Amino acid sequence: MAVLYACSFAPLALFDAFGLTSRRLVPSAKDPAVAGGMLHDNLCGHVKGVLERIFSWPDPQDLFLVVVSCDAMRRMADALLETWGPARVLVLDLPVCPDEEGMRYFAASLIKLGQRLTELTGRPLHAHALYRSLALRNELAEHLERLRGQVHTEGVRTGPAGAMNVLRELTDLPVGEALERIDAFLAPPPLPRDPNTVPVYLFGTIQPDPRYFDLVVEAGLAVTGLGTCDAYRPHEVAFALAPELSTPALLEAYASALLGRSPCPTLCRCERSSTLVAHHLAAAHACSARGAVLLTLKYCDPYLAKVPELRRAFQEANCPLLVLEGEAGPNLPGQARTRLQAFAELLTARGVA
Amino acid sequence: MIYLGLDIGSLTCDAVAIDSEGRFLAGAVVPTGARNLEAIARARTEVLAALDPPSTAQVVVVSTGYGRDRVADRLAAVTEITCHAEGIADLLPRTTLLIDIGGQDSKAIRLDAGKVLDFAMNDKCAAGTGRFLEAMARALEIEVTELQDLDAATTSTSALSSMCTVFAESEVVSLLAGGTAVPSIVRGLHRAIAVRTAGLVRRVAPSLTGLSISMSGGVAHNAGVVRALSEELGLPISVPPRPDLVGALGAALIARRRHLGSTSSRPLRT
Amino acid sequence: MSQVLAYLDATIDGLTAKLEAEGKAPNPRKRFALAAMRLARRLCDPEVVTAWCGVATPFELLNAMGVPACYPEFIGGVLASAGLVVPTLEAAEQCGYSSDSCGYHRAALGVITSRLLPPPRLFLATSQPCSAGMYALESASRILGRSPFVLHVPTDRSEAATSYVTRQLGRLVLHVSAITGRRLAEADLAEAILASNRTRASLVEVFERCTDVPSPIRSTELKNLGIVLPLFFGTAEAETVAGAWLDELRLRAERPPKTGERLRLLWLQNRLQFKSKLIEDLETDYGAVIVADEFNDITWPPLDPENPLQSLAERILFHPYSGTAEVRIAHLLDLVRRYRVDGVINPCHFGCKQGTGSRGLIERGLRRAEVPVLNLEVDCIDSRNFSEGQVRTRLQAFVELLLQRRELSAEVLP
Repeated sequence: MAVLYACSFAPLALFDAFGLTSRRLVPSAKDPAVAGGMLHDNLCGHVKGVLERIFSWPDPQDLFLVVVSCDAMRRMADALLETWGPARVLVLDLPVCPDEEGMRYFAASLIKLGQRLTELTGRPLHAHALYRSLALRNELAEHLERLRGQVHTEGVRTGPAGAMNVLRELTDLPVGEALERIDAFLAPPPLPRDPNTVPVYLFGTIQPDPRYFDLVVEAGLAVTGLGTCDAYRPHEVAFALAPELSTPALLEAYASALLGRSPCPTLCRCERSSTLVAHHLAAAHACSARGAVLLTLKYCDPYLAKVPELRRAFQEANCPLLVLEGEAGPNLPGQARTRLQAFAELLTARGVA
Repeated sequence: MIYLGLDIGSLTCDAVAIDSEGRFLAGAVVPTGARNLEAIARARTEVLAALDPPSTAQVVVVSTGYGRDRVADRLAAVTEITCHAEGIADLLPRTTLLIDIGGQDSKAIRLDAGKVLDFAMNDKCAAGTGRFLEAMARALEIEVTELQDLDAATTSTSALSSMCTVFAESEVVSLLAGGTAVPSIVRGLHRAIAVRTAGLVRRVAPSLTGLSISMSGGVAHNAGVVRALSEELGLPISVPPRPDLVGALGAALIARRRHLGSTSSRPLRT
Repeated sequence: MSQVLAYLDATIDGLTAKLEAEGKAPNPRKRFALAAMRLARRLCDPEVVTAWCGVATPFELLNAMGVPACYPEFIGGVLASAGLVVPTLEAAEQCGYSSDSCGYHRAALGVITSRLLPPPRLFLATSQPCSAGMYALESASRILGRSPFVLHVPTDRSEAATSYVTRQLGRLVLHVSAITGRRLAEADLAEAILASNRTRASLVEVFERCTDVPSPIRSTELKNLGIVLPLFFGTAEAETVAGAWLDELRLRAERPPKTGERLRLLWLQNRLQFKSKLIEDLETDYGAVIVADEFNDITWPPLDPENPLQSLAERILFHPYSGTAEVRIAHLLDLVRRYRVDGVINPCHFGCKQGTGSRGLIERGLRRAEVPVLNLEVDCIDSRNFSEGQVRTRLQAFVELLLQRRELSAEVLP
């Protein structure tokens, strides 16, 4: 029995503590006509793509955890409940505001989720098992910091040996193997970035067509910083742990760490200016990027609302920003290629000035 | 040496030849049709045949446009964004914002001395492009070339609400049936393009203050669209003599610069 | 702004004059329209501190504190019905807000970016009924350099969720006080709760009477009632409007008006806000009457004056629209049964992921219960996207299908 999930806020350490395998379901790159009919075509490619995979999922024992973060995810929960039934679908509400109230609610939700997992697995949740899982996830986060450093030096390469592929694989590996995978990747010394490429910061949503990333690199852009949803966020934990904490206290700390990760546009903060915008600007600066590429998805409301603010902020910071809008299904139009190449040309010319 | 710029679009293949000094020698526009390799070959042949006197000089090619990767002997394939910026900087050096409306896409490019600062493209929808005007001219049973004179014949502008080319056509037919005068409909169409294009412009230039705006692409031949866009943006718009060749010219200039080395200067214009 | 003020002032004057002239008659529709126009007018006053809130916000709280408030969809709706919404949509789009987003929210953002109306001081965003509305309010508040308050309404309906929402409502009140300088006095809150309950009681009877066959109401009469009246909950205005409807329906019961009703329809979610004769024509031509709207229903028990915040929290949490598709479908089937509905029209508003996103699920849920449903792809706000001929054809075809099911003549009435 594995727990499938589609959102970076899934509490992976909790599944680890139960001895459950967890796997991220990335959206299918096939045309999601069935999912469109089940809900509506005008939902984001992420939700439709993930549902498309669910319809043909081979293992009837597997569970799915839906993190309800936005309207489309709510509808995905409904579609899952209809397709797989409530026995196989776990629903977790993501608090929209990552403040103390939200954190406490999230912690309480994690406790309830733990109780549900006990019912399903017949196993109790022990504090020491939870502590061990969290500690391992912390270690993974620390390893990823080193990977982040390497990426800064050499850029994220495409292909099976590239960092992007390593990051994608991590979601399918038990933590121990994930650590080994990163170690193996980091073993050879970093290569210098090809001087004919331009360093950029890449952020935004996961794309149904994974070749989008390759297009970025093929255009002559070296991704020295990654802020996409399928990069570090699923694994960022990193907080101070104490072994004598009780299960509820550990889950509270975990809830706080999950909500404290690099910002997601589905969260709404009660502040005058956007933490998300500031975070991405700082990240672009930190990876010595000469420009930034934002990957969004058609019909993704959280990003649609943020794009004007992001454009303004990057313009004011004199950091060129290219915004691409991917779609459901196989979509690698030549249009994206042209935009990326033109952006590379623009950045190269700027550098030559 | 002849420097050749080839702009291979989905509707037309444009070619421009310049000499070693960067002077314009000849241009050609050929419909792309279903087989772009043939169209590319034809565009090359036509432009070289138009050279006066004829030349046997070596030809260095840079290609651009949708089909830019299909030119086997190219020195480089450069996107049409960079080429348009290069081309307009040569023709209208003061340009800091270029609006290009082609057969089925439109672009807004902010530039400084020919270097692209930012760009926005609309190539997912043909509304507001040459195709849009062709469809409307058909519905009005006139030639595309008549649109600008009809625009000038009135000051009344019909309101058109449809954003989609196909539905706008139905709307035009209904307006005609309802007795609305053709010039007023034409102005309405031009305004619709202007509003749509202005949205693209504002993505690269939230503030228009101090910008010097030029226009390229086949649609720039239509003075009515230029007028409507100028009114919408509140600024004058300059149009070079051959607006549909700006991309190909830019490609040719890039061919020259890359061939002569990056230290070579932009050609002087007397 | 002058066009908007001119429209509002003219409408208010016209309605006031008509109500005076018609003396003691209940005139509920005009009273409702007048209340809405007066609120819109208050929201245009630069001297007044106003709030833009998510739809799920309990307006009893703001009314008790004397803060004129609305949800941004109200602004979009008023502008659309006045024929003034397109410039706001264009303004938002020119600022980079995608035309793939909901027109209600885009119109509101356009009002902010173009400074069409005086900006609100307060932004109280709610995650129900939709997160898109919440993000739009967040964007709007940032444009104005203000910090929004965010109310998270989870899909979970446990006691823990109720406590969570209750606590947040407490903080919402504190936030409003901090910005406006007004306190929520216990007596004012108690009075607002009681007034809200009185309004509720009237509406329960109003909607019960509307289940009569033939329907005592015409298709357009209760348009927007269940959506807009909550803005006035806790005030005498809401009681007046609900009371007027009750009086009117009691009168009609004594003297039933002639009706050509042949089909009874349920309309989901929202009506088209801009002017169109489609619905009236369906009634006139085919006797197809919209006897029920999804949101014209009372889905909560009377509020507890001893525990006001908790009962308000429960009202939001347990609203059928805020739950899973299963809960929503169950409510729709209940409406179908109570109103003896022949067919359901689902106007799938463009850009609406929350409501329209359920299209397939609703269709299957209703079909399983053998209830015919028409999915109508429309835009309730953006009249630029309205192709009247196409929508008319679909509605007529559906009505013809329903008439044939009932073995009635599918021809247009003489």
